[in-house]
Amino acid sequence: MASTFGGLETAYTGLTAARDAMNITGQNVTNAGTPGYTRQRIVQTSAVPAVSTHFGTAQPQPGQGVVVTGIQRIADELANARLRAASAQASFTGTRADALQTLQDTVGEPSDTGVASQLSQFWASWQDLANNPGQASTAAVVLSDAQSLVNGIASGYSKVASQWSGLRTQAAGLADQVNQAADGIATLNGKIQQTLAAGGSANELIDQRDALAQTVAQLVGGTATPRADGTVDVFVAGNVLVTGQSANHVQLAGATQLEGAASAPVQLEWQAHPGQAIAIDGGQIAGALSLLAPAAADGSGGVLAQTAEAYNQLATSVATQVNALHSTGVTTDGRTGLAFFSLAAGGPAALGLSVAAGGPADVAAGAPGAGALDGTLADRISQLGTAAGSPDAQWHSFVGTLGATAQAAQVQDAQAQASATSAATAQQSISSVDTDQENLDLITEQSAYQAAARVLTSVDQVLDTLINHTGVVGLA
Amino acid sequence: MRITDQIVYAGQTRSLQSSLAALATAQQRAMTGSKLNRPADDPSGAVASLQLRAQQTQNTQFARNVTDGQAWTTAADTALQQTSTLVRNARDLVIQAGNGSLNQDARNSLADQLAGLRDSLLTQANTQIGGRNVFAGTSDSGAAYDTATYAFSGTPGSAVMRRVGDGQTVRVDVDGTSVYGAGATSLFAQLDGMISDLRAGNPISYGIAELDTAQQAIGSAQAAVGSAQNALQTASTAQATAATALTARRTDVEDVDTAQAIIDLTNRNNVYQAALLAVSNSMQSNLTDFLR
Repeated sequence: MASTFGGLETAYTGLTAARDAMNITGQNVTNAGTPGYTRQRIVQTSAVPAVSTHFGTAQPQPGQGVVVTGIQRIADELANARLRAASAQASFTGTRADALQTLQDTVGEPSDTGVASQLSQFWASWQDLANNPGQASTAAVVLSDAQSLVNGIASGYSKVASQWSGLRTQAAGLADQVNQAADGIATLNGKIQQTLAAGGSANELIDQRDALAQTVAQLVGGTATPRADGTVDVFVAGNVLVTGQSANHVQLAGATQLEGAASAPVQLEWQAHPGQAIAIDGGQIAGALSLLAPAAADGSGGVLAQTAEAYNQLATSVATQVNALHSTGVTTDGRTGLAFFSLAAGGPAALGLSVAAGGPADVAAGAPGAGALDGTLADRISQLGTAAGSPDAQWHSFVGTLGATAQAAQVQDAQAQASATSAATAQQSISSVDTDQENLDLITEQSAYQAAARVLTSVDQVLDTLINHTGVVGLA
Repeated sequence: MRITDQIVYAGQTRSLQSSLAALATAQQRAMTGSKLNRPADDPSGAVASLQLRAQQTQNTQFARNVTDGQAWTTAADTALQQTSTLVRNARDLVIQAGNGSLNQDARNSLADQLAGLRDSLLTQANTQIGGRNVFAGTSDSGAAYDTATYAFSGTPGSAVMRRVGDGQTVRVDVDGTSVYGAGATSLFAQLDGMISDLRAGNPISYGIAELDTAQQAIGSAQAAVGSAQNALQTASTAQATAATALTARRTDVEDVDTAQAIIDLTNRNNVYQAALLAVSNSMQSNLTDFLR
């Protein structure tokens, strides 16, 4: 037999359940704009009837109302994992595309002021000298055009070198962010484990942890694996970044200047295992590392180092080719064997290039024995620009390669961004708050509360009849 | 798929961003008139542009070379014409001197005239352009021929060349020795011989043959200068054509079609306006507005 007052208790569970549900709806609505917030829902189940104390025949009994069994966090671990993977890839391509955009602006080709124009101008000035050998003013123009070329190459190289150092510093900062996020995940793992063990709801803490896992994915890629006790393990390139409450730290090692990149490539490594590179394939750090990589002979190295190398090769081939001819020529006053450019040994050629000829008198324009005012050598030097293997051709081909690399990076980035957008939409479709839906829920919950209150009133009235009005027939 | 406010807002932000970015690109193209602002815009076009720019610089330089070369050939041509006239005059005098009825005074007078012609010839042979000897192009001495010894200051076999096209050079000076000879066998020395024979009363009929030979040498030098002038003229025409062609090709590679750029810009602008309108009209209300 159900208790006389059982109906009151049943109605009361309905009131509390509806109130809890309204509180959750309130939490959802107020966090509709909170980044990383995952919507929640009350999980309730009908209470089973009290077990009959009578032995023998069982009588059907109504249930004892409703029981709130938990607060569900509506997230799909697969969608989250997909979002992490997609944003790791998008961060990788985004970092590359941005840096290549900057690099193209630095190189500044094609333009009237780029290195290619300075080269053409330099060769043209030799033609003028070939027309007027022995004229100090024409030789002075050759020297000043040579100086502009030298400055152009050196400044181009310096800009690339400073972009490299800037990116290196930025990447080191990103590695610190990875460590902070890893520490954060470890701490949250602990809190979540304790909360869950005590039977509480850790939904908000889990949201925070997911946001940190997302940050890690954007920085270095990696995967997160949930465990039964509510903690997650985060792996980067197959190695543990976070497990339970302990986090491993990473650091950026290697050269801090472009010049040292070849001998000590920049790499991400575990602080516990210095010297061993982590083979990351996604995230901003991977993007930065791919840009910071040393130059390779086949042109497949890091694009910044390749650009610097292109400046070096340009400086070397201009100096070598011009000097090879110039040293065979004679100046107006009969000196021969003079170098036009000098190339400082050690250090990058682009910065070591300088004009060796001290003044117009040191510029050789003639072939030996062809007269003091011969200009045939100047003419031959002017033809270096169009010869096979000319510095110009090298530079033009480099600009083409840079353009193709940047174009490919842009296309990859557009694809990765689209994929990340789609993953984010899929994830939000599951987890984000829809205010219309919350409004409907609110109406349902309000009705449920009102109905439960009505049940309470009815039971109360019935009891009132029983207690106060039973057996008073005919009285008063 | 479940659609939430956040998805709608994010989608709107994205489409506004992308139409604004497209608008910015269209504006940049319309304002700069260039579709090749970075190598990535068209990698092979960038290489073509660099090559075309280099060719343009080269072509401009060739044009300067031609102008400079034309000054040389004009100077040489004028000097050779004068030389030819002077040699003809000298030949006339030599023929006059062959007249047996002339007395020594008349012969001395002819000798004086011949000496005058020899000096004029020396002046022509030492013609200069911009301080350089037309008949001894690579020499840095003040004159092609020494006025006393008739020594030639030029370097045999060397030439003043002007580069007027790819792999195309034109000789713009004249080798003095091919016209005037040098030293004791020079035209001037030969004239000196005739002058002294005239004064000494010796016959100088041999002079006619010498001057005829000289005249022939002048003729062939004139022909060479003439063909150089032709070559320069041809090169100049070729350069003008090339300049037009190079500009046209560079325009093809680098410049936007202005009409197309304006239409693009208008289109992008319309798309952006439409996106703005769509965003401002949507999401103004939700269920909350209708619940009482």
